[in-house]
Amino acid sequence: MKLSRRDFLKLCGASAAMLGVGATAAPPTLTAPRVSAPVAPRKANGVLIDTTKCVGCKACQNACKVANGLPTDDRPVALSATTLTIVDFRNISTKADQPQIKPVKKQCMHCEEPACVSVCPVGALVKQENGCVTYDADICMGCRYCMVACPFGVPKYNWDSANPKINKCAQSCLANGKRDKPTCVSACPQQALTYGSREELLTLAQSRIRENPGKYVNHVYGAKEVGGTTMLYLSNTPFEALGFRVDLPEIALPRLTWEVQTKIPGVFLGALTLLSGIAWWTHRKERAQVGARIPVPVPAPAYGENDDD
Amino acid sequence: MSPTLQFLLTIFVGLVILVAPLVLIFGVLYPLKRRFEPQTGTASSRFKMPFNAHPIGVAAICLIGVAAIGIVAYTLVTNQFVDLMILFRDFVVLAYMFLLRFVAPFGVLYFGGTWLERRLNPAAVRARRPISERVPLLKRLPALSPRGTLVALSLAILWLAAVGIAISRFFFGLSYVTNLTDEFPWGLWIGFDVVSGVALAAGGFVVAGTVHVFNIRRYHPIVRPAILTALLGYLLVIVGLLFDLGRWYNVWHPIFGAPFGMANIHSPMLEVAWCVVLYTVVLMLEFSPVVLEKFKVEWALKIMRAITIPLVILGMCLSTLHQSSLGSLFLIAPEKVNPLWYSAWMPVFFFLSAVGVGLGMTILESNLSSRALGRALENDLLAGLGRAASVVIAIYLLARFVELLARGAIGYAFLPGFHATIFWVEIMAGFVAPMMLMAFKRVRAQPALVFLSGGLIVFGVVFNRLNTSLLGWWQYAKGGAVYIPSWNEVVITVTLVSLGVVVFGLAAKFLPLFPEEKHAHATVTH
Repeated sequence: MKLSRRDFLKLCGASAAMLGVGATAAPPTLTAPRVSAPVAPRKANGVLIDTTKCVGCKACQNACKVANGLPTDDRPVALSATTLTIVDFRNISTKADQPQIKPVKKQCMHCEEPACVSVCPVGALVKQENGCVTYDADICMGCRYCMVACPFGVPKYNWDSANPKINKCAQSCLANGKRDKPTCVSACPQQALTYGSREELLTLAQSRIRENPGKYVNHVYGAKEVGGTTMLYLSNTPFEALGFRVDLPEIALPRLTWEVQTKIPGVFLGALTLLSGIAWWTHRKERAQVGARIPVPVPAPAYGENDDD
Repeated sequence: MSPTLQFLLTIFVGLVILVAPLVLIFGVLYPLKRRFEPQTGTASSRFKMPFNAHPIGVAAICLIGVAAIGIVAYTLVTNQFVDLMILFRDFVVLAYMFLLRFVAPFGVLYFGGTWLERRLNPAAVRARRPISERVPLLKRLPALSPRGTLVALSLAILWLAAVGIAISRFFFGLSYVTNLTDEFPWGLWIGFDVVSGVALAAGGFVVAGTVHVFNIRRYHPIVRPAILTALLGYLLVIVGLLFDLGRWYNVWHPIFGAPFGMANIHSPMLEVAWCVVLYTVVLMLEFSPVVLEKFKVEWALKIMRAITIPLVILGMCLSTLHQSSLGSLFLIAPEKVNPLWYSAWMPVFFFLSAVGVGLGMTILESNLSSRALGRALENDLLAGLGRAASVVIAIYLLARFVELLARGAIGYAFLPGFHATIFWVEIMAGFVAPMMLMAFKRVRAQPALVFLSGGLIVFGVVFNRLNTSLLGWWQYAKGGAVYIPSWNEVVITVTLVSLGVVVFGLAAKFLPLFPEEKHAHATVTH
């Protein structure tokens, strides 16, 4: 029997109702089918972020906060539980007395094979068909393994809450179907952000590099990092100076653990066979003596009487 | 809904569930019993009630009433019924889990056993002293010595502090008591209480396997304490995990939520969760003969003896899986864990060192319990464990250094700095020293040095786990940020350890944990 999450909640609600508490409606949940395997979807949509066009107006940051009902009056300097996208002002100058500030938008990279989705033991994080990685707080148990796993340090936690959640961009601004592109993309006055399918964006990025020789660093960040991300970056400054990790492996991180996970059944059966064989062999004398078949009962230790006194 | 209010609500709902049995017993059953009982006197009639109910029952009904009114009022005001239902569901499942895993097995064994015994062997039951003549458990506790008083007093202070910290943590969130940040999402509670705790509890499967699978029967006297240590270790791991989980009320999701799609087989943590839960049950069963012997439930003892070997084999398989899976936990973070500890072979290393520390911890536990309880020490047995540990550690070290060389990461060990230092401290003090010590027969003949080696192995493996999960991360964080546990975290950790020690001591006092010792006249026939 396979129950969807909604059915399960209904079931719980119904049983609670039978207990005399009353009827309930299922809470609003993301209705996308649960994907147990972090499969790369075919039509992953992503955003190409051309950092050379960014002027640092923070329109994307504020639009995101408004769309997600987050406080707009704080002055965040990094991604946080209340800031799902941030315009990070980086000093790219090598000279200490001549600072050169470069704004760069940062948010969840929505990896093709997300480490966070792969490690979440309860499947609260899901890679959706449209490419974005969503989070369901009702399933989450707050183990923070996703924060450990994320190579970009994106998921943030409500440390000061008794009922904490993981906070990251889940493109929830697209969830109700009223928008055709994320708010941050439509908010950008410079058209620095382009929304589209990942393949098209990659081609677009490559053509921009080709057509503007010398303008860009010859690298699309996110094309190959940790198996590829759906958020792609173009830059005219080395990515390291913009605060991106350039030492990330090209292999998708979930494959590192999956390689070990697939060995579990074999190890279990192997250990079971080996240990049973050893036990069978080491107890051969007892078997001969007692004349019993396996399993040999362990002789009862002749413990003395010990009553309660 | 604000988290604090939600938490208060959780308390309310929990209260209702906890108080409901009281209502049933004292509010309904007790008055009924009194109603149909011949009135013999005025016992317990100091509280004059307008109706025929026990005061506790009345209090319970009042409490539920207040809780219910509060919840209904809150629901009406804030229109947050859905959240309430989720809370209620979580509490029902938690209570169900508790009943299923702790109360029901022992209840079935004890009550079913006594019932059967009464049916099968009424003579023996009649010969036993009636319950009313037995001395209550608490009165059998000895009077405390001055040192004992001091220990009890410090424990009381520690546990009071822990209760305070627990209240802050569960009411206000993790940041009120811990130094955890977004850069260091896992701290002492995961690094020590869970990751090291599981490793330290490896003695159970190592010693039980030695005796029951490899059939080396001379180690039989240390099986029971080793299994108890492991069982307590796993129970405390679960408690520590509940402290650390932000949404602890959803802790049942990976287990009971699995049929509803709340299980992701790609996650090593799912594997750890399942194995820890299953292995705790296996350990309870492995330990149950001690309890059954105490209460003389012969029929159940017979069953337990018949299934001992399969049970131990199952426990060993589960241990192999989750001890290594604790290493797999960190495979996902090659860019965060220091290269001196990060390796594709971490699962194998974690398993090998768990076997080593299982032996080391058994040495340590035997020494400590013999000192505290005034038992004679099984010197030759512990020396044998030390020798085995020496071999296991030699294999472990060989594997680790071959892997470091093959990966080309050995150079990091010679880069002067924090990580090279802790690496060599771990390797030298925690692994090489006990391996060298225990390799010589003359050294193994000295109980104090065996004790020391056991302690060093425990230090080495705990340090290794902390280095992998905490200290090895220091190079990753930007701006040189570090994580150092807060005092609150340390207090909770020490409290958990002390709880384990106290329960171990009580078990040694009231259960036949060291039977050969107590009943020297009885000969063990194998």
